[in-house]
Amino acid sequence: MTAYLAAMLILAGIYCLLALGLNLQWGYTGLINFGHVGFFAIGAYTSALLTTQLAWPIPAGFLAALILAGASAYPLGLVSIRLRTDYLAIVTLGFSEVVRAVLVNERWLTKGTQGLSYIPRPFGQLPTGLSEIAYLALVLGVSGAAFWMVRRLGRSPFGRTLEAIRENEEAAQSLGKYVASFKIRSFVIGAAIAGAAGALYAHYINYVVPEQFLPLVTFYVWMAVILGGSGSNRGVILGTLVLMLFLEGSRFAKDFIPFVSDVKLAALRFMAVGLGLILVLLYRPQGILGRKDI
Amino acid sequence: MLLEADDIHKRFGGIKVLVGAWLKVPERRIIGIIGPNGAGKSTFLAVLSKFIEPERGRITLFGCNITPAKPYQIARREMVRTFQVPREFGRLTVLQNLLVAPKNQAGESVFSAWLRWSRVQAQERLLAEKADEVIEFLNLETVRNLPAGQLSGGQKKLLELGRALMLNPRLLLLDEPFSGVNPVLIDQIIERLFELRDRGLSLVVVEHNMYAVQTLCDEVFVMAEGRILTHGEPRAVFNDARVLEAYLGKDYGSPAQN
Amino acid sequence: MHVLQALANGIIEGSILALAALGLTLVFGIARFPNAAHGDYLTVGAYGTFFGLHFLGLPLTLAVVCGILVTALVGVLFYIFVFKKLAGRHSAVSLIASVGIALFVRHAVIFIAGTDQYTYHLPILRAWRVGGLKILPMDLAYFSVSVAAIAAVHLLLRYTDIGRRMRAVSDSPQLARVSGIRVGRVHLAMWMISLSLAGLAGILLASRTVVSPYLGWDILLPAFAAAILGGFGSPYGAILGGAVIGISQELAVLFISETYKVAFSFVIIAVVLLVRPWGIIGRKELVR
Repeated sequence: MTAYLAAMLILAGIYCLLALGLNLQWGYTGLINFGHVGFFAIGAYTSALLTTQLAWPIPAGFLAALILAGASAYPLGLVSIRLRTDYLAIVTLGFSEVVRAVLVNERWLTKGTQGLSYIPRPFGQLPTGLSEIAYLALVLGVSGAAFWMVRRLGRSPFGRTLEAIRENEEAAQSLGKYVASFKIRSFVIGAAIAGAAGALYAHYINYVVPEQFLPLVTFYVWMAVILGGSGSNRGVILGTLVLMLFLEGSRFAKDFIPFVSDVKLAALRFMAVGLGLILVLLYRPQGILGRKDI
Repeated sequence: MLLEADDIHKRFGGIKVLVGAWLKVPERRIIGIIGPNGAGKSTFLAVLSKFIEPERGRITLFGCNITPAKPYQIARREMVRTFQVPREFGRLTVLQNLLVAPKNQAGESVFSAWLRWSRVQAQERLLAEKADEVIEFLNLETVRNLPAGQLSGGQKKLLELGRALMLNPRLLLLDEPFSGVNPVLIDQIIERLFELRDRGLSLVVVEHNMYAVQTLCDEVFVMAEGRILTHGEPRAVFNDARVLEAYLGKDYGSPAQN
Repeated sequence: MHVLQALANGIIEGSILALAALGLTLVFGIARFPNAAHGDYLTVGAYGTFFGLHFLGLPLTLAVVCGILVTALVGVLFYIFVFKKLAGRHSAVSLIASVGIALFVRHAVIFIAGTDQYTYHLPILRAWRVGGLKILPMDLAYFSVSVAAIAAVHLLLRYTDIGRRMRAVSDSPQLARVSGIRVGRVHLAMWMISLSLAGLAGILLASRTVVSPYLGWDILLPAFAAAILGGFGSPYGAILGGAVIGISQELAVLFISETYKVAFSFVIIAVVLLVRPWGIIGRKELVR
């Protein structure tokens, strides 16, 4: 039981990281990033590749994942300066799909749909149970650090200017703010956090395949962020936990609804996520903890 | 002379919007710019604040030639422009709106936010003090912590002015600061602007509200069809036949009657 | 020869893509947001027709009508209960909501019909050999249907009252409202046309391939690319874009891997939006 709980919390922690990163981009800066899973994938594969093919130590792989994911966001950040929000959404979606196409196609690097396996796990040598708890501590540590970092940014003039840019970009520009620089930094930091999440994910699950990085993941995170409250860091954490609770809890619903097949149950869950997104936007756009609406 | 503009020409498409417009703004003066719709007033203001590039002409600010400069460089040079339509940061509070304004804040660097927090906080305290001064000056205490989007039109204009003041300007370009403002508030704002002049600022005010222009301005420039028709004290200008013609000619009615 | 074959395939693919892009661009031109659920509306059309064929035993034409009606019904419901209510807010909200709708619809389809793929079991006719090219007669049929639908939309936009009003609202909603046009009605009409096109495109696509839950979602990015390339919001742009993307995708596949097709769309989208955001024949006002 503890192992299951620990596993759930580890995944929750990883999703929280994704949500915190997206919150910086969307909640604070107003950038619609529909390609978040792309950064997640880059982080996961980077660390996986470096630790399996080049035998790098895990912390180095983790760092590289962070850096590469952040770097990949740089061109997107540049692009975001010139595009209106909904166009940026389409471009970022395309970006994550291109990442996935590369993962599938460049078999010489990524082993294609077969994926990379035997990714080393930190604390893997500990007995099961203890190993999970240790990893959970790691995930909590990283999430906690990310939370602190994003929160600090949110409370600083940097965060305030990000919000000003979200509210009225022209006005911020005429006040002398280099809007481009702020947007790029927001994008890159958010992506780096997602990259860290990817590395944590890869080393936990121990294998990565392109199918783990579908746009669906991006939209899960969006659901969590909007549910919890765009712009509020505590809110998106809460939103992530609620979403995970729902998604995991509904797995057990099978026991109470025996006549529904696995496939149908899974479909119902996704329908609920989609419906939930619509309902929140319609009736409580500020989410649970949001202080403002969209 | 704080600001001098000479022989400004600007076309949009095939239309000549500014034809040899000029302006001289001395220290501690309030200059008004009036004229019928389409005379080019807002465009002139945009050119002066470098949001638009003139085709021909020369602009000197505090003695320096700023003709080649860009808008954000100007904001850093103590000439600040406000806009006709207030552009507040809707979901930030009035206080936050003001705090966004100052340039080169240490806390805008990610590095400083993470590693030099005490320095950032120290600067924040100073800025907050100044912001509170501005809030008090503009009588916005009651809405200090309200989201700016909830303010009335007149309050938003005040906020716009407040943001400009946070930049410690020596010269303010105000684009229709009184339009859509409650008449009661107009006199209050005029009082405030006088006080700014006494503190050493100069103002250039584009306005349609003739009562405000008459009360507020030391000197008025009249624009029509992209040119400066005439300039002088408000009273003289309002009785000038050419000015009447410029307005009546466009079915506007005399400015003195407005 | 490969090139000519690719060209021929591309024209046919392009015609279906143009249908999808046309529906997408109509929504953007009038409701002013990119509809991420559009792809899944295609899927609904495909499944609706399958339902008509195999559960209602309808003849093909009626089954197609059935599919289109189902799509229109589902889409209009979402318009009334979601998009209409979100109309006053920022377009980003409608966009995100459309993502929710896309998820909901796609998985509702899976819930009802499972993840298996189906086909319409249409008659398989031998390919015609025309001067070295292989052309499937069914493909010609799809092409004709697409062209007919596009022509119908053109006639509607050009020569009918509702078409004129739609163009007016697309050009300037405020002006349209002031001149007495019932904007709400125009929106409804636009949605019905967009949805019908989506349904039809989905049916044609499924006829060419298979009926599967991801049918429409997979074509969403290429459809966006086509609409954006032509000029997002411009119906003729969408048609042009569809043709160009359809043909160039097929030509590209001669050189790059099939799975990189999506990369192709992405590059088009990114380049167009950065270099010439109003596309080939779009309007500048919708750009920023």
